[in-house]
Amino acid sequence: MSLRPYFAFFKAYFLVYLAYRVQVILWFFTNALEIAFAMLLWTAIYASSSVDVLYGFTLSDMLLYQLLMTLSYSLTDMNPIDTLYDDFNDGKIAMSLIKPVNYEIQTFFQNLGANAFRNMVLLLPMIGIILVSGLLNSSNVSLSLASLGLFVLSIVMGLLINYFVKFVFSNLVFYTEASFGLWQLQAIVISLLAGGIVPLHFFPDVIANVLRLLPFAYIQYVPVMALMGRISGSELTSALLIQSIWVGVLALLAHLVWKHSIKHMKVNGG
Amino acid sequence: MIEVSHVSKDFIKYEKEKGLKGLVKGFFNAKKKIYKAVDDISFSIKEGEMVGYIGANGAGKSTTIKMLTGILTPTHGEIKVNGIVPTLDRKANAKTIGVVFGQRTQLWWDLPLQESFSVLKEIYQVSDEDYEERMAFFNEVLGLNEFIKSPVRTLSLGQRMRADIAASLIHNPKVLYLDEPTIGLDVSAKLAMRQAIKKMNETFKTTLILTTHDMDDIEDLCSRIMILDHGKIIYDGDLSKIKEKYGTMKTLSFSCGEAFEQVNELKEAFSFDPDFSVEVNELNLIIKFNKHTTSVSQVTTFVMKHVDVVDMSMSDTDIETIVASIYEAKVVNV
Ligand SMILES: Nc1ncnc2c1ncn2[C@@H]1O[C@H](COP(=O)(O)OP(=O)(O)O)[C@@H](O)[C@H]1O
Ligand SMILES: [Mg+2]
Repeated sequence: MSLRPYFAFFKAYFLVYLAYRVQVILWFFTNALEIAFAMLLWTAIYASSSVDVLYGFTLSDMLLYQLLMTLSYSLTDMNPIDTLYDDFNDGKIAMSLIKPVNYEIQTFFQNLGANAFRNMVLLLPMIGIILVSGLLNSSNVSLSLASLGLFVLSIVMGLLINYFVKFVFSNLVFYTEASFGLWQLQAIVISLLAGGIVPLHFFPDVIANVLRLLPFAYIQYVPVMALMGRISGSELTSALLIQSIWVGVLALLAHLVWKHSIKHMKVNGG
Repeated sequence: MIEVSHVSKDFIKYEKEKGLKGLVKGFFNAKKKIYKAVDDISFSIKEGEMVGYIGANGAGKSTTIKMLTGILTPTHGEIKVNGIVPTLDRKANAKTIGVVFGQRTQLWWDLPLQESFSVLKEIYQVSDEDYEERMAFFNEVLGLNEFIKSPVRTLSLGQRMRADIAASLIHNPKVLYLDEPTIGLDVSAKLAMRQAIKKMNETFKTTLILTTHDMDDIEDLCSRIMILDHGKIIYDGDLSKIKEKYGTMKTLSFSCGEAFEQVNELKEAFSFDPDFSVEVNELNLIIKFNKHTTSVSQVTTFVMKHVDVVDMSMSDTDIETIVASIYEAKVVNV
């Protein structure tokens, strides 16, 4: 199978965002505001606390964690939900099915194109902020080629997990023909379970242990903790192993769910 | 080329209640209702044939096309296009077909038209040479260059439709399915579209299935028509035969200077023509008759002798009226 047609989708969706320059600028500032807000919040929490170290995190660890989570959020961000919602709900999917392309791969590359564009805009400024802030030094994070390599590997798997989880969710909503409001809820829940709001080890042990088995922790939390040197050695090996198992399981699940959807699809309109 | 045997498509309609409660309830015991959108149809179409597929709204035309293109799986029956079962081997089938659904676009909404075509070129793996040649042809016939740089969402309906037609032909498909491709087109765009299709058919023996409400499209392009009513095919055959059978009626309309009062005498005079009918509407007089039994001059002479005629017009039965009368009769024998 040639991937060439799919790169055409990648490129096309990359270009779509070029057409929305104003939106991109807006979204740049939203990100900046979110980071600033998290920074202020955690600074205030640490200032009002009687201890300097919370669950093994100093203030600068926490600030670095927040920055890296934002960075990894951007790197792993995929929204098949939007694509599938449009395609199913107004029957646009018919227009994809009349073409000799694999819909699953096409959707993936479309989302990857959008992801690449966002990161082209956001990545450099974010890396700049992390380097300039000096937080890497103050939290004793030593970067090496090996640790960066593992981070990239883990982030790529995180992206795949994020994509497949959302792909499966989207299909479930399609079966039940539930309302779109559920999505807002779903986004917040995933963010919480993935450690986007508070680091997972801040949760009580029982909950944290369960969360470590669910796929959500492997989207951003594991790569970020690995980069910060908080997961290492055999613990890191087993984390990466679980991560790759989740990639495989979710990819299979996504495929099965899709097969089911397509068989039961009623194409609206036309 | 296309073989359809005993194909049906049922849609299951659930009667649902709204909200989360309805969702949960519906999950366990939804009330099912089966609706037959396409009901046991069979036909076969040879390479290079151009077939008009007509029927009222909701007759099941689009559903048939969706099954032929592999988008929907038939509930019963078998479809083969070029030896391929479309739903089993959707991608292989998709390589050899071109499709336009007039109601929606296959182009990418946010992309400049040019980029949409670049994506299509990659998808269908069209060589640079063929691509240039075909784009030049489409530009000549459909005038694409006027708006090739604009994002698709900014195109007018007519421009978008022209672009969609070019998109459906870019890979020189063996079969072309056009589902209401002329809605919203002005006369010149319609002519251009028909010209493009005719040229493809002559040069490459492209097979065509066309659904439309525009009978001119059908008369211009198709020699064979299939008429669909409530999911069943009620006529499949030559367009000319059906025109001969149902198209022997002529209509003469007169605008008179005064009321026409000799209706009974008129009917009496033409009682030899069983199809003869008269309708008086204030000062207008509409007379229908069979052109094989009655002549135009006989009728006009009679009318002019009795009233002062201000204006007069004559028409043959158009295919639309023919189809309407077939609908009424439901069963057709030709
Ligand atoms: N996805 C669907 N779910 C339920 N009913 C449908 C669906 N699609 C079409 N139908 C029904 O099937 C019938 C035929 O529709 P369609 O093939 O679109 O008609 P046409 O194209 O001839 O106007 C209509 O009554 C329509 O309401
Ligand atoms: Mg239709």
